Amino acid sequence: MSTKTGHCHCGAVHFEVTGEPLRMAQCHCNACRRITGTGHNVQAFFKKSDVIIHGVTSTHDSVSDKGNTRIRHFCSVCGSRMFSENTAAPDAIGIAVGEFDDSSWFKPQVILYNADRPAWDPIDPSVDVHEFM
Amino acid sequence: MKPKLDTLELEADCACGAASIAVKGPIYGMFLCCCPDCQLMTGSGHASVAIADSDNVRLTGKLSEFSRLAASGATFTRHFCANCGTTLLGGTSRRTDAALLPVGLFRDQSWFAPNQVIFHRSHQKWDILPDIPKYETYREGL
Ligand SMILES: [Zn+2]
Ligand SMILES: [Zn+2]
Ligand SMILES: [Zn+2]
Ligand SMILES: [Zn+2]
Repeated sequence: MSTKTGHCHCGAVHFEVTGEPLRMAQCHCNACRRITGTGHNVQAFFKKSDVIIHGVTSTHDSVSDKGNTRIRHFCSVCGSRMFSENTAAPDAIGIAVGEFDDSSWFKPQVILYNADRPAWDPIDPSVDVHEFM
Repeated sequence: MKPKLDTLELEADCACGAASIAVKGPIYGMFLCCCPDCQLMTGSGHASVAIADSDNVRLTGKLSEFSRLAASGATFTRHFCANCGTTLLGGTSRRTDAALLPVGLFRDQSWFAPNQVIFHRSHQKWDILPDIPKYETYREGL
């Protein structure tokens, strides 16, 4: 089983993942565009028990369209996007794909909130597209 | 440059609402950057950036800042909400008059039309890019 590693921009937070992703997703919703500053957010979700996090993150909670609480983690030193949790799936953790040292294994399985996707941000037409969640 | 970019007025709040940015045009540069730093900052495959005049930017709220040496040799500084981590603004020591705006922050992004990808050498194959010119590294004059 391969170990995946990654870190924030400043290195104060780093992590190791064993096991394969449960789900890989790309989301164009307003909240994801705002926190990334770009056209979408890309995350790989793993079993929490497969992820070891070193260092301390700050969190911000928000409510999803489904009414669940999302907890978004960032590095308080450098502001990097790191992890997300959702009360609907308490055993899973999302990791921002840009934080991995090697993300060549990543490929989104689903595109969410395509209705909010900006015209300048193209997608892979072979991926399963949902207009909303 | 489209005339609309000269008179553009943009406003955005961070995810928690504790900080905000207001920007007035002109917008004089629009690009995507695939450098490793931008991947780490955004958590995605590239940053989407518009350049405005720093004199035309107003920030409110408690912001943290993080600086690092960029591949170009300049110091790049990013300002983010201390409470929720949302990046509101970037700046570079090479051109202190330039405000680097994270385009995704603004709800209306219909005005944005990137015309180049920089640092394509570190592009990830899972990251889909528009059909615009791609450059291996930095370009002078951005
Ligand atoms: Zn950090
Ligand atoms: Zn989203
Ligand atoms: Zn905030
Ligand atoms: Zn960059």
